[in-house]
Amino acid sequence: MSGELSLPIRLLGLLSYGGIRSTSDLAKRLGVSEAMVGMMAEDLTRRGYLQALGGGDCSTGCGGCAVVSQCKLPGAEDRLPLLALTEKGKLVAASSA
Amino acid sequence: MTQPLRQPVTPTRPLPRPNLRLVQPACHDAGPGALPHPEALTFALVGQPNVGKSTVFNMLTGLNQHVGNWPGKTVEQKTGTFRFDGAAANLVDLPGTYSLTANSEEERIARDYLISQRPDVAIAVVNAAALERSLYLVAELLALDTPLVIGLNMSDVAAQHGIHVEPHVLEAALGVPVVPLVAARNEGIRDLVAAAFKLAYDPAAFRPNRPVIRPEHQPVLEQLVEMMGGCACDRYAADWSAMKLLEGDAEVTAQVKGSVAPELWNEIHKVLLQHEDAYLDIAGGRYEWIGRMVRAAVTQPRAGAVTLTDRIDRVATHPVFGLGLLLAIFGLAFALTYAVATPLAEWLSEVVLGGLAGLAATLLAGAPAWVSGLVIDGFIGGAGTVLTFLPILAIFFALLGALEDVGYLARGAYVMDRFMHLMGLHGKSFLPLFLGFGCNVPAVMGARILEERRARFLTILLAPLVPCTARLAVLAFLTPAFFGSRAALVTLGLVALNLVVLAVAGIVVNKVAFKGEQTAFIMELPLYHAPNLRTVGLYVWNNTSSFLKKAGTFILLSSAVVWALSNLPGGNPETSILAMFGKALEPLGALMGLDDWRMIVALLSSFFAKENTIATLGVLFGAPEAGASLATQVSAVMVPAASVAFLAAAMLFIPCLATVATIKQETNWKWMWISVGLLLAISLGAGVVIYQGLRLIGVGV
Ligand SMILES: Nc1nc2c(ncn2[C@@H]2O[C@H](COP(=O)(O)OP(=O)(O)OP(=O)(O)O)[C@@H](O)[C@H]2O)c(=O)[nH]1
Ligand SMILES: [Mg+2]
Repeated sequence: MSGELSLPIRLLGLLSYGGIRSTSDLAKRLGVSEAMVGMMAEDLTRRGYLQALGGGDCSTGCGGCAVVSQCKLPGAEDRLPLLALTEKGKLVAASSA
Repeated sequence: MTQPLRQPVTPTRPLPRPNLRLVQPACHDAGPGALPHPEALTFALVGQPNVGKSTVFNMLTGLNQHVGNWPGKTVEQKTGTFRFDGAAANLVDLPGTYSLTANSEEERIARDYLISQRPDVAIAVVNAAALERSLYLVAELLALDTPLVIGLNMSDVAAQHGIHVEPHVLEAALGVPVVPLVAARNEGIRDLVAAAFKLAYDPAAFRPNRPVIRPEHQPVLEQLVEMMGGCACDRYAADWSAMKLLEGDAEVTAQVKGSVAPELWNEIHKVLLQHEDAYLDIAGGRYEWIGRMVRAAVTQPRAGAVTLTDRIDRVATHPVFGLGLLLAIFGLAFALTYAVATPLAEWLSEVVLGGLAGLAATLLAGAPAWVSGLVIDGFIGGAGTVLTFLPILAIFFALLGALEDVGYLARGAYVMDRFMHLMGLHGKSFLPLFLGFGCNVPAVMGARILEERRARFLTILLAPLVPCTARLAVLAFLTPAFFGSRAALVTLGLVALNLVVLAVAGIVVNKVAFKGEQTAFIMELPLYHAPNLRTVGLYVWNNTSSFLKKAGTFILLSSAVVWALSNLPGGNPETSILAMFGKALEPLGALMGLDDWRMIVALLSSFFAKENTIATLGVLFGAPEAGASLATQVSAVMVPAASVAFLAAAMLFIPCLATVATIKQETNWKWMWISVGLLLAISLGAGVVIYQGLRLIGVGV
């Protein structure tokens, strides 16, 4: 199978056209588990191929706001943040698609 | 075909122990202090944080342990001894690590220890319930030369999740001894130790099935080895260093850089730059290897939950049905909130507040008029009325928290994006916006991915239009004050309207600024599961308690201020300062049906806090009496069409301070004011359009 691209490259390739992809959908397309997609996505983020959006934490800077705790919905913190391709990731994605 | 990353020089001979000259740890004393039995075998426990390493360590060493720090580090070091079948052994409990990339202090300690102190056998404790993650570390451990045995821990937790790992199959696939454990119950630890001793006595028997590196990278690895190989270091160490260099490992890079001539380093650096993406293949080799192991040894991971989630998502994430479902669920949530809480709120208002007002009137009969006015109309009428809406907020937050905890809310943004795609809009700007479903702040920050300034600023301008949870709460809170029992339908209509406004604005921005440029996103949609009462309860408690705190302080104060402004000078509200101010704005208010100056003042007071709207209404309409809830009093001065306009304006009014501050931080003062001005215009404009539109078609007038 030396001709086939490696898993992380194929994952980036699946992101080469626009839109939102769920980890479960990506897992099905790659033939791996969703946990594996999550792991690879975190790894690619650390390596600068993907970037996390927002950070999901709006509790900073809204001290006086009465609804500040609503920003932190239960369970949201142990989930993967929303990720998007970086310029570096786009280059790989484009060349593998 | 692909080649193993490293093959034993000759399969029958024990592996040569590496002399890792190139990768010596920075200081040599990174190992534990003198071991109690220097002549005995030494085993090291490695594994991720929280997998049960220390549990195994404590079971084996009992009281024979020494706890200190790793030399020069703040990380705890545990060493000890134990006896097994008459033989003594040292045991080291290494810090928990996810990989051996030397990203953290813990990872560096564990890696340095394994490389420089070379335990006889490394005992990897892995988590059967999250085998893939654990195996990544195993893949890296196999790249070192230490013989390895695996303790498959947390088998009980795995079984609870329906994950079944077959230890014998895993052992055969890995070529590494695998011993099932439940460390917390001392099950399997003896077998694990037996396997470790066996391997220590016969290291030649260690023939693991290692991850492979792609053949196309072999030449560059050879080249790097060659370049570094000016030194007579051994082949194995050079291979490992070359791979780590190619992976971009910071520590190894620094060490190689420091140990070769500058000209040579420039050459090496050039080669590395040419193969910048080699990491993807090296890690890919590990992931593929993990996939093979897991496919072989794990049966039916979470089959039940997976198929249920799949089945629900066929509808819930469908671009059209999903959007319908989203609206239906919100409609239902509001309906339920009002059905349960509105009677409670009315009871609180009429019986409790009314009684309180009556009591205060009797008690303060002898006091000056302004004191009873301030207490009855100001405090009870203002802050007290706000408090009667507490049941509504509590139930709304309970439902919202449950929806999130069940795993549904994450689908909201997903569905909106898919819907946009269905309409042929693959816009780059939508997703940061839809992030705002939880909160507008991440939506504003999410716009960072847009490189072009104009596109970024336009997206930031739109972000506050997203109905965040706070806005929904405000809506849940205000609507029943105007519509009583019909609140659910009105609320849903307003949410739908808001989504339409957002979609239209998104389309415009997409056309103006993006010209179809696209980006893809990865989003995790969690498995659906039953809500956890504790989590949801905590969420409700946090929100209601902060609401109570605010009502007791800020709202109380503003109620007093509103009361004072509406009674000065002279004590007649109709000629007060506030009335004069409100009446001056009546021409604008009239456009959206607000003929009563009190409504205009209430709308503007939400600038400080959304709850102020209700407090102001409460003060200006006086303390509640039996049979006259705020809703009935308000509907007496305002037609329904004007009420809808009022609510739409209140909902779209300037966002919370945190969002405004983030907008300032992500743009500049000028754009922040543009944003505030724009939202003011949009909210008042929406009010006017809605009122005039409804009047035109003759609804609610
Ligand atoms: N259910 C279950 N719990 C376990 C098992 N083994 C250990 N635990 C529990 O898991 C928790 C973590 O165990 P530790 O031994 O402290 O984990 P560790 O690997 O030393 O963690 P770090 O030192 O943080 O890296 C403890 O509460 C243990 O009681 C097991 O097989 N099943
Ligand atoms: Mg520990």
